Amino acid sequence: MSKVKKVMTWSAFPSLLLFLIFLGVNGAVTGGLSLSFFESFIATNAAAICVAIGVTATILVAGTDISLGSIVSLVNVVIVTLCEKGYSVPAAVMIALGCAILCGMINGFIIGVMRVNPLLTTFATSTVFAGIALWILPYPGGAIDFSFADWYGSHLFGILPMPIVMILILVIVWIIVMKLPAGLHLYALGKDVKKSYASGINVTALRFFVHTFAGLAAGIAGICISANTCAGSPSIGASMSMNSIAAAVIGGVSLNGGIGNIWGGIFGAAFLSILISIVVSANFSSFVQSFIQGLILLAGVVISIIASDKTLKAKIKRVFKGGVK
Amino acid sequence: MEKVKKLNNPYLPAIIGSIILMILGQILSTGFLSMNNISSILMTTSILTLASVGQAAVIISGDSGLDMSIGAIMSMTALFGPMIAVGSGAASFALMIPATILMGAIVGLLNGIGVQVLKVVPLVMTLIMSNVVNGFSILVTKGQPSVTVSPQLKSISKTLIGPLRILPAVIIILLVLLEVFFLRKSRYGRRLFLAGNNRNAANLCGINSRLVIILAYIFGGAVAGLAGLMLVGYAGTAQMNMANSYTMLSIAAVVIGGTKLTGGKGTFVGGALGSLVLILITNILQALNMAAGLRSLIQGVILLAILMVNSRAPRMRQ
Repeated sequence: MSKVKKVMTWSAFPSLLLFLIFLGVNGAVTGGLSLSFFESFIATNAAAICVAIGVTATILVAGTDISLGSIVSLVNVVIVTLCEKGYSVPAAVMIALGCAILCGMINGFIIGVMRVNPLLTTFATSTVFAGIALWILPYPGGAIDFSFADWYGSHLFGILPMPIVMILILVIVWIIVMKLPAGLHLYALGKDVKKSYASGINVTALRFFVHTFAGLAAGIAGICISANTCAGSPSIGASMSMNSIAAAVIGGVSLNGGIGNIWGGIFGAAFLSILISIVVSANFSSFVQSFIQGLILLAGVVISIIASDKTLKAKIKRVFKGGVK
Repeated sequence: MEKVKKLNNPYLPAIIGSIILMILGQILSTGFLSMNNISSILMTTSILTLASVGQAAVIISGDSGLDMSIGAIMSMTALFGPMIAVGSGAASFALMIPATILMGAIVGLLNGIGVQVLKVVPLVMTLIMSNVVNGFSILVTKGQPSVTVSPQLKSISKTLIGPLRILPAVIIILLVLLEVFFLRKSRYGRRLFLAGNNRNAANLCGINSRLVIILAYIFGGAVAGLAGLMLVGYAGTAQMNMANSYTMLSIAAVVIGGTKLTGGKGTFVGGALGSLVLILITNILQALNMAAGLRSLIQGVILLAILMVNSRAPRMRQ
């Protein structure tokens, strides 16, 4: 019983539940769930999940990062342009990943060392990164060798699909950090900056690290999306940054910092992705789609916030108990 | 000493910035400071100013208040406003103004309820609301806006008083009136500042701070609705999501104008000066005829520089 309760109070639980419910709904709409559906679902949405992991990390220290979508676009554009210039795919991917980490470091430097507000900083850097992407590749176009897509569709050791491996890389890095003292420091920093500074936590270094990690996450997301589409577009990640924040909130990550974990981000993003695929496959007219998506998103956020609000939950419980008596 | 203190006011960076930018613009492209160009700069500035006034009210209300739906509201009213047609052109124009204000106010009310009653964090609530509003615009227009802007609506940006167009003049007068009689002198304005500064203290003083903050969101939405109508009057045509960039621009304008994002402090005039700086930057870069990507890159770098000079948090060690 206590184990069940532990799962129920896990901050990522509402998003996991929402994801599973809508996975079921999707199965009902499209007629049965299959492994191949799941694989293609992960392959398409691995990028969104990676970005959500990165954003969750920054939100945990009471920050945000709205530049990740632009970094994804930049990575995509860099890979495509380098491939067209004759670089081999692995070299292009590594250079692009380096660019993404560098972008994350720039964010981390301005937020951590210069102490500028994270929202404003990443807004400014997002125009910078999107500008560079648009400068390199003004129009959508270009192509990557299809061996890249084959690699992305392959399985590691014959069982693990590549997109899941990409997500796992981020998860493993994060779990290692959580096992270190820095993991505890991160949550302390999210809860209260002044107190954690007073207890000797290196605030600057932690902020720098978190944004660098977010840059890495965006870089991996960019690799996933490039491998999935094998084409270049300077605005491919434009809508990602905002959606990832909503995903994190659905996953029970508090925007005030210090509450939640990356599983929340992962399940939140997975829920959002399955939602979009349901709305697309349910044959609504295309004009209604984005409105319905918005409404369900709103409902999801409100439900997950009510579910995590203890006083509100107690109030609802009391109302129900009163009814029984 | 007194003079030095006076100089150290929150408007100073924005004023110095805009003067430097004007000189720079004149050096880089002759005719930048011609009456014609100044008048068109003031025109676009006044639209952004209106958006930043709404944003400033929400940011002042505190509780990490932020309105990310301003661009979506402006886009929506820019699409729906010109659709209103009753009888003569003048009558429908007269109806457009309250109608767009009402549309914006309804979205603002939903934002306020979400933030204060359902306790969703403002950033996320207004972000999702902007998705909903954009989706609603697509739903109504079927994705193909066919907006014809009536001559009356166009005239708000075309009519001249002396060398200047009428709209900037009206907005500047409106701004000063709002600043003095709404924000500084009115009972509501004082309550807004108190609620933003210290919510507990406000509640203990018998102020219904929840209602005050919801009203701030309604005000923000209403002003954004009006700004959308101005925008379509100036642009002459309406497109889907045409004003979405105004969301972040309005936040940046408010911050450059010396308002802190933590709430409880701020002015509308500062937002206007911040808007002027931002519009001058875009205008200069456009005058230089650069590639779109390079322009956005330089814009971002300038914005970063302003932020690093203007809004650094104090050191931890005090």
